[in-house]
Amino acid sequence: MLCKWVEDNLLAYHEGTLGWLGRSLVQGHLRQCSECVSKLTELVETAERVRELRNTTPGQFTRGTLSSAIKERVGQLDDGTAQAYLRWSGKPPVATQGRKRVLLATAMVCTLLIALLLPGIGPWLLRTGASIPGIDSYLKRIIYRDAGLDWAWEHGYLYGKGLELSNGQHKLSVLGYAADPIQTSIILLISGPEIDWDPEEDYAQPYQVFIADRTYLRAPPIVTPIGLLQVLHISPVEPAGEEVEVKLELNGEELIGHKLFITPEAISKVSTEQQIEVSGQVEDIVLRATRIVTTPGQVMIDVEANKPIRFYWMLLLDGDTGQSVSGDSQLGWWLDGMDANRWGATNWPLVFSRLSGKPTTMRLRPYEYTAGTGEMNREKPGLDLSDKTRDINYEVLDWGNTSRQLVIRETSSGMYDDVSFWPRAWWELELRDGRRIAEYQHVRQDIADFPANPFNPERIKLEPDWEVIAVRLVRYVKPYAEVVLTLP
Amino acid sequence: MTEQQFLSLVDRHEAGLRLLALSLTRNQADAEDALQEAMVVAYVARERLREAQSFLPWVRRILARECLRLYRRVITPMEPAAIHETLAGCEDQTDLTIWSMLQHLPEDLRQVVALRYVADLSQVEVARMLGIPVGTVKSRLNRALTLLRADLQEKGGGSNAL
Repeated sequence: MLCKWVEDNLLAYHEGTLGWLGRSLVQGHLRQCSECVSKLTELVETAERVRELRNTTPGQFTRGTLSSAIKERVGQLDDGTAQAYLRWSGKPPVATQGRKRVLLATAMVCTLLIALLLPGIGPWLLRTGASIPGIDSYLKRIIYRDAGLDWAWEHGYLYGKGLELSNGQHKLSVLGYAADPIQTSIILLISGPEIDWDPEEDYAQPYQVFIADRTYLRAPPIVTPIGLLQVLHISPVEPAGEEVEVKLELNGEELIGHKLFITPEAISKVSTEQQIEVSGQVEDIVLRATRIVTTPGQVMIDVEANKPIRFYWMLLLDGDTGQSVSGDSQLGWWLDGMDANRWGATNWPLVFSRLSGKPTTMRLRPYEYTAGTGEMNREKPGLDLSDKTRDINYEVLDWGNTSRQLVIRETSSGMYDDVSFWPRAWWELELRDGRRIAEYQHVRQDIADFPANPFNPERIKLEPDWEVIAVRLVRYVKPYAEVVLTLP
Repeated sequence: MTEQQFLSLVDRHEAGLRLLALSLTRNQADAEDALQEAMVVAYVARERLREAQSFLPWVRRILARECLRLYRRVITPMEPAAIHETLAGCEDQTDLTIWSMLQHLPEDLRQVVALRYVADLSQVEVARMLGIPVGTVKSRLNRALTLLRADLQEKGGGSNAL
């Protein structure tokens, strides 16, 4: 009976719209009923996936046409219609930071009182890491992005929460960390006068939060009403635990610094590490897999090469079931004008999240750059633009007749398409007046596109006096044969 | 807000707004009409908008209202398969799957989900816009998410597939 009632109210509970009594009942019930906890997780996951649709960009939606349509329509408006539109527009929302803060403070006091008065609720809040009211749903969103953190949160392995540091104006709160043999992730909340910074509007982040003397990876922050949520990932800490220093800087000036002792003990107990020795060779390139580390959320495979090399990889799961993940990586690193192996190691860990099966085979295909050119002529319709070196085809969806954009879509798919974001490839445009424009790089260079999606068309903005008659893809890639490593 | 600022925000959020319009109208031509109409309304009133960060919630609200107004009046929904075709080329094919599932939801559930999660309106705003009680919005959301979840699991698109 209670399960049914709780089930009906889980969404309201998650979205924070349940009254305090209902919320207490749900929280109390969730502590005892794993079935309802998993239903809540499923509900939250589904809601988040639907919410993520807002960031989807369908391929056939060309951009840049709306502005001109608006301008055209506005030019035809008479005064009466404009007045009606003004009424119709409603009042734009305004920032209510001050009011929000008062409400949040009240909510905080109420929640703490409930936590103290009703037995069992306090520990629940601590277990989830949501010890600061008002950011619960944001916290779930940022945690869900990382499989390791997600697992640690779900199973109560987030540690170090509750630490708050302040210099009077700015505050840095540690909401938890998860440390395993693959990585250490720390969730931080930063609040202060600069929290109104909006990553969608301004990419120059006014503050810097980092781990001193460690290489760290900073995941994109989430803006909450009371501060910025940020996750920092660093390499694994020592098995016995290790002290790291979290620092907050504003425009280069240190505001807050604090040492945090991190222990990986709990999650390490449910992780495994296996030294392996499998290798394969193609021409003069030797590739080896040397270690597999499995944690509850991730799998890491160490791969080595005898020289700096880029390679495509495909990891097959559960034998010959057809399930696989694929991508592109490099061992050692080189760029134009830089020394080979500038970034050092020719061994590199490949990390996979949320694998749905056991990795059994790894297919690696090294490649290097060489000359290859694809071509398409506007005046010979039906001739595909293709990269002959890699058997990849493109089609031109729009030659820019109306939108002043050249829209090109990759039409083939497969594991080797992932390379398309590497920088040494560009589109060369041939114009009717004989000019050749080659300043546009093949645009998929951002890690956010990783692995690059062949169905995402590229758009090249055309200047008014450009009449494109041909487009060529120029790239330098030479694929080698494949190395197949059978994993134990 | 100046014309230039407004149009640059429109450019930035154009794709997302188109998707919202399509999810509410289920007809590409009508989605385009609603989008243009809503953006002209917003353009005329742009001087009221003082903060760039309020742009998206504000225009989403105007657009949602315009779509619903148009939907009640004239729209003939496209078949889900046609919408699927229109959306071909989504960056993430999982997204495309969810879009398809969304289109197969019963009308009352689909509208609530699109307004709540795609338009990012609060439950109260959704209730006000559709003229139904907040409790009904909650129960429809619950039902819709349960159906979507079951559908995702059936199609093997659960969290493990991410």
